[in-house]
Amino acid sequence: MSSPRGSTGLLGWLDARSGWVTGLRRFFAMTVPGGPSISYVFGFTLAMAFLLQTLTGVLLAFHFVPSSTDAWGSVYFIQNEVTLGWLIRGAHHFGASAVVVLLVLHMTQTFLAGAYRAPRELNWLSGVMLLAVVLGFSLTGYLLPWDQKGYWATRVATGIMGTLPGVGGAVQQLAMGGTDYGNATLSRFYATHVFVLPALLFGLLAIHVGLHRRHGYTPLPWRPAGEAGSAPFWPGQALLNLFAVALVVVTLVVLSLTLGASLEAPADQSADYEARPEWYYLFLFQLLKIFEGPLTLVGTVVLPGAVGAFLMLLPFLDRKGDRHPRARLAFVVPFLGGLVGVGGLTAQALLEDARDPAVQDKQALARIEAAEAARYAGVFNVGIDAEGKVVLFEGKRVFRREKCGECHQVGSPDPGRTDRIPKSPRLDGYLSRAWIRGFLENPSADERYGRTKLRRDEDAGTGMPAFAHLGPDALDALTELIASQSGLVHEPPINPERVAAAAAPFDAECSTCHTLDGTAAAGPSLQGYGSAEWLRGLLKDPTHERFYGPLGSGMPRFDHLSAPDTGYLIAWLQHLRLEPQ
Amino acid sequence: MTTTSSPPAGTPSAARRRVLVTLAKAVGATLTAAIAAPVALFLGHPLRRSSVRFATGLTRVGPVEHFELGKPMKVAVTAPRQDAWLTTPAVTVGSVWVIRTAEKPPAFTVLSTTCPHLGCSVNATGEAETPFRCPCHNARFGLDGTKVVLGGTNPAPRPMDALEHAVKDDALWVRYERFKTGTAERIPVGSGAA
Repeated sequence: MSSPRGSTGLLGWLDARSGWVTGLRRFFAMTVPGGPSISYVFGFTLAMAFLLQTLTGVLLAFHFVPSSTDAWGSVYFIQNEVTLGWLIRGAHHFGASAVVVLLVLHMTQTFLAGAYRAPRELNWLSGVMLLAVVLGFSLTGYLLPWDQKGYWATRVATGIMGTLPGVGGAVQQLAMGGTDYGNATLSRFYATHVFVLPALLFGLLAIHVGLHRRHGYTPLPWRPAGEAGSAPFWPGQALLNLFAVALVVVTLVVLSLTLGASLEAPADQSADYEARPEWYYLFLFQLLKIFEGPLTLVGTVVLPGAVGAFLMLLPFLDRKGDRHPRARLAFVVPFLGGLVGVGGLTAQALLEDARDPAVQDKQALARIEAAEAARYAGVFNVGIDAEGKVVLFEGKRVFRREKCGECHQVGSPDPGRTDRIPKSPRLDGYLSRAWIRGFLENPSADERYGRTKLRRDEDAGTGMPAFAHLGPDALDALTELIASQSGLVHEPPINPERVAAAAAPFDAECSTCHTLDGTAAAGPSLQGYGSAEWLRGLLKDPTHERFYGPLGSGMPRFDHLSAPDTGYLIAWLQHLRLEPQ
Repeated sequence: MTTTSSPPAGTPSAARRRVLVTLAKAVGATLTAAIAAPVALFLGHPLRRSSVRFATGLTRVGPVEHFELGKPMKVAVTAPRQDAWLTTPAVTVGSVWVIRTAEKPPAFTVLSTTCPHLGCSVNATGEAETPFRCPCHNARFGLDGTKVVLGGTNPAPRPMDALEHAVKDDALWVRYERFKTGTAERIPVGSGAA
């Protein structure tokens, strides 16, 4: 490629009309002053990272749907269903961080070499503008999955826009597409992310690379002067650059494999969530903790504005003298000081969170919810409903929000929950044969009615007695009878013969307290036990004569739940029978 | 064009350059392949798995008395459907032409409304000779779904697709399926247990 010979054949035909081949040859033949150096890899690698982001971004758009009901589901689908979706999304997610890291490295190297000086002022200015575009990409991309993390972080970011003096309200409303978060927010973030910013990026990149072609590589001021050892870009520098790109690609693959691009639970506007921005915005987040109240503007406008102005004006302020960093301490010190400051603020933000148990609990809960949402979204035939809700996850969310777990334990308690001893029946495996059988054998065990008014009291004759003495055949039959009441699918399926065999023991042992026709008795009616209708009635009023009567007063009424929330909760309660314990 | 640093052939540094060129080409090619392969697999996902699936069990389409003898009636088939990430318990997955062929015991012909030619929706014409006609390319069919060739042309590669059905509890039940269009052979597509 580097030879100066003219092209023949198809390439020659193409070159005669476009000059593309010659242009590429010139690029490959550009002189690298002093020969190949690691210092020169960052720009090329960054440009390749941009291309990789474009490629993976376009691929994600093949499946992503920017609507508040479908965004999360479509990202879930990419991450968990589409072939290598986790890799493409992982590469895009971590690629965004790689871009920021490479950009800071490229900028620092350019700064230290004083490469912004004449005639390269415009190279530098277009680079600073690219930095702004990259930060815009990150800000808009974070929201797109419509998960808790992106939703709440973006709320804060647009909230900050709203605090700008004078124009704040209008800026915020324009950014959000209205006064609240919804479909309009998501679609305009998406349009900005995939049309506006890429157009700006490629425009600026064309200018930036074009200027680089025009002015060439800046000799490194810390290398001996002169042309000694200079070499063309191809193959020495090209090889170094390719190694750097390969390192980035391998890092992205490893991060996608190990950490994986996070997808938290679907955005919940009622949640109590600790919003945190992406890691490279943490310094700004921390800055707002320092400059609060009337000083907020210092953190949101004054300091970032000062930094932006410093970077934009730099080529016009630092124009004379040696390019060696030692000779430019007046600029090097604030630049490096700024970087150290950003690093320090980032570390401080991370440390404060790591030391705050409340934040740790909330972050742990967010991770648990993320895993639950992804697991439940994949449940066959239940999954995500037309409202975009992960049905079983919503049910668990209602369970959590209504603090059902303070009395009914399911699994291990959530992080940050008090160590109160659950006093009502454990619901692990609720409605499964094992759960029903356990109840029949020993209803007054601590994990069942043992800590409630329904515990067996022989003197008062209240509560449910144990039936372990009936023997396995009768217990199996009764278990089958009760399991069959909900009409739910069981594994193995309900055995009708066994249900029929329960008639005699039910009459003899159970019918004094329980009916199968819905009429009231001392104990709850078992007609339709565990069905949606039965559970809806129970949630509405546990003390109803059809359920537990006055002895059920330990459980509050949940008649304030909306119909959809009740439906989700019931779907989840009924699903417990299938969950591994 | 800068060629100053290309040393004359045969020198040690020319040999070194050849190694570097080979290495750079190898790394470049490997990187390109490493990126292209997952991209191709990602894009090829629909070849391995359909994102829309609906239940293929028997679905109730209406009471038996709803259908008049010999008169085609179009009914929608509602079934649970999985559309990529979305699960809908009851949604219209397609429609069928039902023709009652006997009063007692009730017997039926059930035909998919999807034209076997290119997938348009076949209409009922009310004409005795060609009771079914596809508005797109004029494919014509008889009351039993067979191809009717009038004037020598009928683009349909096969008869209308008859669907499995049963009479249960005084109602008609249909197993809705989709088939590949444009082929003489009937090849099921796009469904699957959902």
